[in-house]
Amino acid sequence: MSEAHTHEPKLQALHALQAQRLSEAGLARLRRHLAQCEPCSAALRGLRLHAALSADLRASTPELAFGRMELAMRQHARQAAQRSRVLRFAVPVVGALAVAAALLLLVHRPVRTPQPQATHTVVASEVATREPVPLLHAVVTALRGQASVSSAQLAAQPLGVDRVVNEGEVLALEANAELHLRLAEQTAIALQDGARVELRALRQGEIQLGLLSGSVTSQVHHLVATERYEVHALGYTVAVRGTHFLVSVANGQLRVVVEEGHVVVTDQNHQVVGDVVAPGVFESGASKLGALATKLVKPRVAGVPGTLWPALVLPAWRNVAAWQVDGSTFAASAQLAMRVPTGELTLTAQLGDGQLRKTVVTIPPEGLRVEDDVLRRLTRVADDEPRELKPEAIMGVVQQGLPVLQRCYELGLKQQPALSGRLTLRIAVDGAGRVTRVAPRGDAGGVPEDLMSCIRAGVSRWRFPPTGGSGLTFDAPIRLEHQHQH
Amino acid sequence: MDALDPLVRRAQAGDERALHELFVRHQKDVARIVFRALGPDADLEDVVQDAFIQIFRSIARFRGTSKFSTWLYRVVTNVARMHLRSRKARPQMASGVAPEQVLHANPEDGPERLAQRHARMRALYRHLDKLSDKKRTVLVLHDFEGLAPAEIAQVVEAPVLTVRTRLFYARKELYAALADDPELSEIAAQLQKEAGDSEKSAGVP
Repeated sequence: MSEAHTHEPKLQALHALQAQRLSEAGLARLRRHLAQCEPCSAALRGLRLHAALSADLRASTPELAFGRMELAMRQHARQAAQRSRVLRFAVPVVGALAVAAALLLLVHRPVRTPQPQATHTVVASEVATREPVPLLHAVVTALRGQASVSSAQLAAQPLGVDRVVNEGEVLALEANAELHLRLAEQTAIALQDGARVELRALRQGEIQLGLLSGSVTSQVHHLVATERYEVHALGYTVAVRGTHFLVSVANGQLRVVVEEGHVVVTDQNHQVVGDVVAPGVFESGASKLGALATKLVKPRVAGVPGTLWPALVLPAWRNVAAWQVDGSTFAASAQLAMRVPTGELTLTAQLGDGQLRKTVVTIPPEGLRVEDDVLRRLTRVADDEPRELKPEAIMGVVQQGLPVLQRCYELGLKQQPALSGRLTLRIAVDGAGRVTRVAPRGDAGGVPEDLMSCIRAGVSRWRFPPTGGSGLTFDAPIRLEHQHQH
Repeated sequence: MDALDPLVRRAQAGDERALHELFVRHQKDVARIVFRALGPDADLEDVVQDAFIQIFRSIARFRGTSKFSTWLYRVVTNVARMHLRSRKARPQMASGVAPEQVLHANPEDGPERLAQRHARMRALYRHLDKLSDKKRTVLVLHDFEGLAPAEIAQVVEAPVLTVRTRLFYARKELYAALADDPELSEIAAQLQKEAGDSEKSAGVP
């Protein structure tokens, strides 16, 4: 084997070369060596690439939505603070008990029997660090129609989006209602049409639901061996391991539909009566397994309490049969309220004749109730379609309005001297070409509010060519750039 | 040993506002450490949140035997390492395409330059993904975060000599992989040319 193949590059020398720390003589020696040593030349290429790519990396900072994260962090800070306070109280108390127990043992121990001193310390430390199983607080993420919650201590109260429900409470839905409940991370249920469900156990690693009537569809994350997720109904227990399934009771019969995963159904005597692998159906009347015929509702796991997404409210609308929102589909038979993320959201209406109509709505942090005129436009007949507004016509108006934006930018620079970047404005105009709405598209967290207010005020005065109909919405991208002073 | 920062003391005592203030004060540091540990990753925001949850949970155990920043590096680096392990265990898409993390661009950066930078960073992390956890952590902390070997030794709880050894082998493996990457050959040629030009202008014979 030649020297070139066994030679180990001297990284220290290469680093010195890169940092220009070599003497002239040293540099000449190294260059002569590099000319005939391929492993060293390759290492130098790699070193230079690494230096250049590292510089790229150091020049980039991630753009995260800290504002959105802050809400979740407040929740975690609260929980951590509570836990810390409990431990601060528990440790001295348990420590004192352990000392007392140790003294008691010392007093009562047989004289000739030595006691291992460490035993009690270990027990005390184990007791002090063991935490009770935390209770889960489920939260309503979507609701269509009317539903209520009650318990032994609580008279029935109406449920709404974001309402937190707890272990021991019973949820009851009216006919034609649908409720989505997030139970834990990646675990949620959907109740439909007159369902009644008791939250028998709602703890970290243990969820037990009692289905009293109707049906419950579960979406369960993958469980580890020590975790339990069970639905009890009519004396049967449906136990699962990470799956998507429905349990329903009607006329004294149990029905289990499994769309994903694997569930085991046991009776009151703990005998396995059904072992259902998706896609499959179990029916207690005939103790039979069948094929899956219909697609199950997908329960929404979104809208955790800490992140508190804003509410979207969609009233019942005469010719809309169903809504498709953020990956979920709901019948439009009653008002629908649900938590959705801020920013743009595509709202799809399925009309009575099967047509799909889409519109994009911007969900502000305070939530949105979709107004009748939006629904009217969304479900309008084709004759009302607005005429096209050509891009050059839009750009012409934007160009004329640039001085206004420039003044706003200068105002923004006073507040935030490094302010620069791209901003896309979503502008809605009515049929006469008047601006009815201006909003930043996407996340505009970094844009100072004063700048945005100034832009809104300026753009609202722009006048576009009339389009007829009920108007239209378009995007206008603008670039905010420093004019360097020389 | 430094005296404990009053804010840290309050956070240890279970003061909810102090914990929140810790988040506000260190959010950018934690995001930067996670970003440099993982590279452009779609889960960046989740990992940053996980890191803060871990900080909140374990701050009571911080005794001030090291600087708070060193302890922060230790917690955040461990969370990032756990994420890397779970990411490796997850099935990957055949194309290897992942949603891109949005980066803050310099004002003079055009979209083309930004896209090139993204591509280079993806290439860098593709090779970093092949290093062992321990070597990668040391390299990231030293070469990207600029930490001295003695501080890295405290972060990873290993002797300084071990840190230097891991750094040496991490660099050796990474340099070899970068030099062999055909996607980077154009940049390598450009860098070689720039190095030659700079030697000429410095009067090197």
